Amino acid sequence: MSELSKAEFPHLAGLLLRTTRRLWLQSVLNLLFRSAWWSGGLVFTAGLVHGLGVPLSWRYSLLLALAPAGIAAVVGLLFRRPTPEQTAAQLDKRLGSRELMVSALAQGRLPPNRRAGAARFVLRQAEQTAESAGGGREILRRNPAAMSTLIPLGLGVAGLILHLNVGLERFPPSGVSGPGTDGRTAVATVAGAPDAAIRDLKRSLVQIASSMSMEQRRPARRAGSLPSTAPSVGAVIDNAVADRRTALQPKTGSGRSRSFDGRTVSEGSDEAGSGVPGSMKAGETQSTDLSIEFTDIERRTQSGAAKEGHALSNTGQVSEFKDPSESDALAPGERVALPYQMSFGPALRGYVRAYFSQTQQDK
Amino acid sequence: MNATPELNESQIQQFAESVDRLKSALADVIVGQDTVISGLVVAVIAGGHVLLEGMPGLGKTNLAKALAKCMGKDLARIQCTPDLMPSDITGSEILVHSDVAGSQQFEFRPGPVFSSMVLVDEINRATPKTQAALLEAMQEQQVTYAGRRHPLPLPFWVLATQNPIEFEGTYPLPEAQLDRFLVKILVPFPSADALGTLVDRTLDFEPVDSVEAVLSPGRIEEMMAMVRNVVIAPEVIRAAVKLVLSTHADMPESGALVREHFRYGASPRALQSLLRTARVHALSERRGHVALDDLLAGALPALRHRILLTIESELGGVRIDEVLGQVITECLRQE
Repeated sequence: MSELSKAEFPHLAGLLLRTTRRLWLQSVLNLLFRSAWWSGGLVFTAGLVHGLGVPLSWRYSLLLALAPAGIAAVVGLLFRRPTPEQTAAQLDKRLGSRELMVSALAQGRLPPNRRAGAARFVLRQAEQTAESAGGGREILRRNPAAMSTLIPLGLGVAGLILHLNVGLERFPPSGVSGPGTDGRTAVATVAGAPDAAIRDLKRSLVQIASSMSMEQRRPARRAGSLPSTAPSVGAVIDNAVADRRTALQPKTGSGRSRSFDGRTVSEGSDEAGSGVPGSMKAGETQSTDLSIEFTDIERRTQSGAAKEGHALSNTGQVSEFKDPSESDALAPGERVALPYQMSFGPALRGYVRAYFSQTQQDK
Repeated sequence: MNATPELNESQIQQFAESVDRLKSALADVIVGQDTVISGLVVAVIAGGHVLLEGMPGLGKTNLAKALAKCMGKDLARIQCTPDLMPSDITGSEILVHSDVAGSQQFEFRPGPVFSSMVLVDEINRATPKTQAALLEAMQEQQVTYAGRRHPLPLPFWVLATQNPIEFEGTYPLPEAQLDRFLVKILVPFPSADALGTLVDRTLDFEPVDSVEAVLSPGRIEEMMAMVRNVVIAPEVIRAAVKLVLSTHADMPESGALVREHFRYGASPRALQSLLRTARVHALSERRGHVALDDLLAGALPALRHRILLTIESELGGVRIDEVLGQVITECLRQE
């Protein structure tokens, strides 16, 4: 509050109050602009980390980036309210009134019998100046920090690009080695296999399969149609992923299968755009099919990555599931969409792409 | 603070007109020295003593004479020489015979200092002892002689002049005495145009002789009282304090320039001088409050004689006005 009597100095008190609010808002905005450096830096750093092979969710990165802005807003609102003296000094600067406002404020706060001889004259001048100044809207016109915000904004956008991998597929993958003994390129022979990313993928797949198994198998177990010793889908996928040479072999054709622990893991192609679907086909008891598809999200073609020889996708969804032991619940061939999303980091995608390039050459 | 007489718009207007009238009258006598005249008028209205420094023949003495006449005040002149004694300034007691009783008694005979305005010409030619005799008069407006105090007429101004180029037979004023002067005004050499005008006006007669009072009796006292009613905002006082502190090399407010060149900074009395001259400056510009520009206008005259340069800077030919000017500008620009 200006502490000036509104009844005695209506224009001056009003102008001081309005200007205080505007300066306060400006101060908060300036803090937010400054915090943009932190936010942009955080998003960019998260993007770099994501790009270096530690997959991070862009949503969490964005939330993290909002933290500095939140702190800045709170600090600004709580501690940056300008004092009446600061407001008066700013008014003097903007209006060119040569310390008239600070002088008037100092005198206006005193009781009339303690004011200096020229106080009334000064206060009257200040009132006239305040009246002619109007709303004082010019206070918010200057914002020196606004332009410099473009840099952190650019950093943030760059970080998001790294996160979402827009266009990064065009960059060549790391180098590849020669073909494997099975006539195809073994995954392990492709240089730069990202062990950490593969472990993460495995963990994600197991989680998906486990939860899927719990949800969908429970009724079947209760009905007694599913032996308690039957391997869960999660276990199958776990096994498949454990052997990364196979689990991460995306398809280059369709319907290729391999066996693991007496079960079959087939790598087939489903719909383009579905990412990494996993499905079980009806009629295959004691076996589970895991379909992995990589989609060229840039081209969005129906044929997907298989024909193009590319394996590019930033998200994957285990889209279809069929447990043959639950034939009473699901018709043969019927597919059930799974509501899970899985992120592939750039390192893993680069690796898969390298694999495809190599297998294409092998052909 | 007690209730003070109100200062209205018309009074402020009249004040500014009086100042303009005074300056104009002095400008007719002293040609091409508008800055000097302005500084002198401001200092006199602020009630301070003035030290005028300049080469011989620039009209310092005439300026003082003209000012006294314009204000309608009596002027006493003391020409300082090395053999000038303190009692020549302050006065002395003489033995007086009483015709009636036939008794004898000492009676104080006031010296030239008992005048409203005292022109102390070439003050640095007087010995330190004589210079010191002025100290009490300048600060306390009184003379103590033989244990008795003799008050001086108020208002009381000392206008001292000194020649900056002569060193032989001179006694530079000590810092304590310099500090008593509200301002030190440098009288520059006039321009060619001003010299031409000077010849026209002063070749055949002395214009000081024809000067008449432009202020009514008691007007200067009224003006001095009005000045005390000018508002000084706390922000302006803070700026003045910061400026004074920034002239001290050992203060955190000081900059690299001050630490390099200044040995001693301005005294607290400098702060008073700054604000007093700023008030007059504000009022003469028809404002009831002091602005930072008023501080800026009076800072150099108020501070330049209160600051000592380091020996190295003095030997290096550093001019106090150049360094101090930068310090003042930088300090007040930050406000």
